[in-house]
Amino acid sequence: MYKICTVTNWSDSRDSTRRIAPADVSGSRQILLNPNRFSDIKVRDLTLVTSKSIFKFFDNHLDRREGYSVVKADDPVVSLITAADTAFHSNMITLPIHKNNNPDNATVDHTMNVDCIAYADSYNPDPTNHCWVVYYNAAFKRREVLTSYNIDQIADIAETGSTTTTTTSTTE
Amino acid sequence: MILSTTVLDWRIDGNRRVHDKTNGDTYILNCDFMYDIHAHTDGSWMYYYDNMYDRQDGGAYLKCDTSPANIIVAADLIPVSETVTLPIFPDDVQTETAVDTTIMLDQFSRAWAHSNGTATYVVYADDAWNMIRVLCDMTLAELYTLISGI
Repeated sequence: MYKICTVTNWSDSRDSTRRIAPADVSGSRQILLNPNRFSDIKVRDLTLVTSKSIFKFFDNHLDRREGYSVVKADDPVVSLITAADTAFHSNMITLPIHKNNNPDNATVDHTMNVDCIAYADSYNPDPTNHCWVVYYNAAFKRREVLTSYNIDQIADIAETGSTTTTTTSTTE
Repeated sequence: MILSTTVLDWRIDGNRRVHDKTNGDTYILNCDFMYDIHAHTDGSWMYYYDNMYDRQDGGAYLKCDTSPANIIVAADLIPVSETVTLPIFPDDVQTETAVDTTIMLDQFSRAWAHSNGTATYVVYADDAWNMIRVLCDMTLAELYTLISGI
């Protein structure tokens, strides 16, 4: 099952640490992550902050050329393990994707395997109604698309098949 | 899991995979190898990767007569086993004695019927390394039942 993590730092060779931008004034960002890309999950500091975690994350885990990034999150290790052990509602997920990544355009339903989604991040201008989803077509192609769901709704669809259990909106 | 469907258009190998251009050909496909499934007036279209483990495989446009909703149903079916044992004819010679060979189901790429209807071609991936095509001593329907239990 996907996990919405409170990420405080994401050190990545692809786009540096800009995934947590200075605009995130809280110093963290809610990002939906797919645990099938996690590796080496550890407690971040055994003496001080056992409720926080650090782990490697592979955007494209099927490509042997893909290096990892290091994610620091304000989520305990046990919660990551629980997410990894929780079954999806279906092996497939259908997302309404805006044409040309323009939120003013109509959406087209795309159905994909739940495993191919790497992560989802809020759409800054309208985080309650849109989010970016990054997914991979096998090991071949990275796609970044804008959907008309927020990340909570994507988590709900993955878990229950509908968005009806949405309770919170995502903050920047 | 797998899907038995009529493929109407498959834009790879010079469009030679679909012989009946009017009615399409029946294939068994692996739902894990399907990406970007869209609704179509004929059913659905998608990008199908022969070998999802090979980063050099870019996928190909495939149109079939199964709706996205029914593809999801097929994807969620639990197979009889995570492996499948295929009776394979040595060198594709049907007069030879078939040899049972077991593969992992997640290596299964596609299958279609031999023109005589009594045997079935199966293509599976040796992980990212290689694609292997074999001729099996069973019909396409028997293969579907063997994997799905249906």
